[in-house]
Amino acid sequence: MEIFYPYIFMGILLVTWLTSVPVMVLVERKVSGWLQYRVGPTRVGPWGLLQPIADALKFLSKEDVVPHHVNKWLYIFAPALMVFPAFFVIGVIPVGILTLGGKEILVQIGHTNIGILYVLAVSSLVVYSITFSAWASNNKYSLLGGLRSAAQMMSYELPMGLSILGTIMLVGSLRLEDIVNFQMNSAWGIVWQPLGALIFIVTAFAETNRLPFDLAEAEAELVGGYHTEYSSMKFAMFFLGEYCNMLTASVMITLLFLGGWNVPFVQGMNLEPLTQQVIQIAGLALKVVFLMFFFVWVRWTLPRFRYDQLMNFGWKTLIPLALANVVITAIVMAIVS
Amino acid sequence: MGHAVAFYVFGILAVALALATILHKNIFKSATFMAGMLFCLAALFITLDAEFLAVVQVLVYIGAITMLIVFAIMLTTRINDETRQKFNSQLWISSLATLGFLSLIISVVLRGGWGGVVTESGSLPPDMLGAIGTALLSDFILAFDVVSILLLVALIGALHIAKQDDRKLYVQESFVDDESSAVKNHVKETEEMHV
Amino acid sequence: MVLYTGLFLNTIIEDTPIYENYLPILVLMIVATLIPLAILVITNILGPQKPSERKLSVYESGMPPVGDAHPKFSVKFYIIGMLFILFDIEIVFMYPWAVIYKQWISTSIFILVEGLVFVGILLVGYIYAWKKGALDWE
Repeated sequence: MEIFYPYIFMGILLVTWLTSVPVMVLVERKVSGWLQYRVGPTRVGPWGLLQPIADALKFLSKEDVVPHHVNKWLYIFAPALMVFPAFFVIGVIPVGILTLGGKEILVQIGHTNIGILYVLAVSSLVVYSITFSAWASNNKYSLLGGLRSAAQMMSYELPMGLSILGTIMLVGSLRLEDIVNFQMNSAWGIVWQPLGALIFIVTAFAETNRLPFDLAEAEAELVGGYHTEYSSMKFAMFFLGEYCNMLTASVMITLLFLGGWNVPFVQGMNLEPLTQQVIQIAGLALKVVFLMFFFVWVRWTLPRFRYDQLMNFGWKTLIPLALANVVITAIVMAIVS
Repeated sequence: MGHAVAFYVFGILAVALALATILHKNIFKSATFMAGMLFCLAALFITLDAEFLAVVQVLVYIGAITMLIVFAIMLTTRINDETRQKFNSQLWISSLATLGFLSLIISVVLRGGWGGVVTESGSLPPDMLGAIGTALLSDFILAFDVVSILLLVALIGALHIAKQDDRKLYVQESFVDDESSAVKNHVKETEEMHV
Repeated sequence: MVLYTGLFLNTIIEDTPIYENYLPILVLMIVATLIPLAILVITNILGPQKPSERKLSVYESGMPPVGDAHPKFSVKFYIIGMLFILFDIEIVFMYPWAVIYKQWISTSIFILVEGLVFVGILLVGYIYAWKKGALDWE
């Protein structure tokens, strides 16, 4: 039975990630509506609840156009490359602990020693989807949007990689479960690493191509960016990947800086182990939901960057800050010990 | 058993993708196959318990180096450029060099001396990453410092080449339109520049 | 497979080969490949197929397409890619250093000095790139 736990968790996590997309689409449209003082979707189902299903059906029933000027194989391959890392990345993400059959079991698919790096490496594959769709579309908007987006993702990967170094130094491990455990025994990561957390959150926005960093899709100047020539479900696949990546980013922020599945005071309440653990997983889910809401909130609060501002911000502000964070953490740790 | 199967499957895949990389006539697809090949290598590293190496393989080789090659191709070629020169005048020299390298590798493999290296996975230190860090900062401390200086030199060299004629290096529309070998030469040059 | 029970730090499962933990990840890789393929196949079957000349031409906001899809590109993009590789490699070297930092710093300050030297050399390259104008994006 124990052998099958990873596969059961895999099923649960995949379903969670897949269902989060329609939910997120609805939430995004509703919250966007409220923030702009309108009601959002209301027509399909009660309170517009069936809107995502209607969207999905519409995408499925539309013609799948493959224009004659594209490079056919790469053109078809590109959206698949967007979805692949979005699901592959969940392989090392732990979401909690469960006591099953008298044993404490970590809810995680594969137990590795390189947790964070795996997530960084796999999510960096998204840039391939963007460049492929840009080049294969053979359209000037696609190409320009794709190039911009690829350069942006590269530029923000560096501060992201640097910003987690401080946490790694404090914990002494790359495993996400160790990082959560460390926060469980002391304080949340955001207390230890406020600057690191800030940089990580900013870069997470940039890596998921969300506003204020959605330069690739700057619709006013670039039509749609790299997915201009896509239609039907292929078009939707880019958004499927994007929303999944957003969920992954929220989970990562929670695990690294918001205590993971750590819920305050719950350990002092003398609950059944399983009850306590379920509460903790629910706590993780709640934090993630808040972060997803935060993503939408920021979208309608901040204006979009200009491209030169974006690149300058990444290279000239975030990288020095992240380096400074590493040095400060190192020196403080040396003084304290 | 499953271990051996994984090793052979990914090994054969890696060789097949490497062949596809050098034989395909579309240079963009060649780069794609190369990324796939490097991914298979990462999987091979996993079968050898080298997790950190595998993840660095994906981060650096796929996420950065192959990506730069893709960038260079995007900036210089057009989608319909199907024909590319597979061989150039250096065919003989390069095949000689390759053969020499191959024989070197074979001789090293045949000489053996793998006893010190891990053969059974169980004998690896459990905390691999810590072991790597300890090795880097004790036995290989010189290498650790030399690497950082080497990267600094590479950075300065690369920027020097790239910035010396900043204005000339814009890829002109007319230049791309030119069907002559100039385009391909440019691609080759840019590729060689960072390899 | 030995179940992962080491909670967590410094209790690493001894007798399991690491690669066995990657078997679920291999399965996940296959599943993650099949999901997009399934979507592509389904949409190809379900959607109508009524191609027309206009529909299949280049999209340029309703105008007839002008010129080629290759406008002038700044070599900047290429320089960014190059800088990215170099800094990425430097950062990769810092991970093993960061992992053992906590253990080492309690006994000697050597690791701090070494880290500062490494970051310092990185910083020299960074400042050079800045001064050379490689980070400017006009």
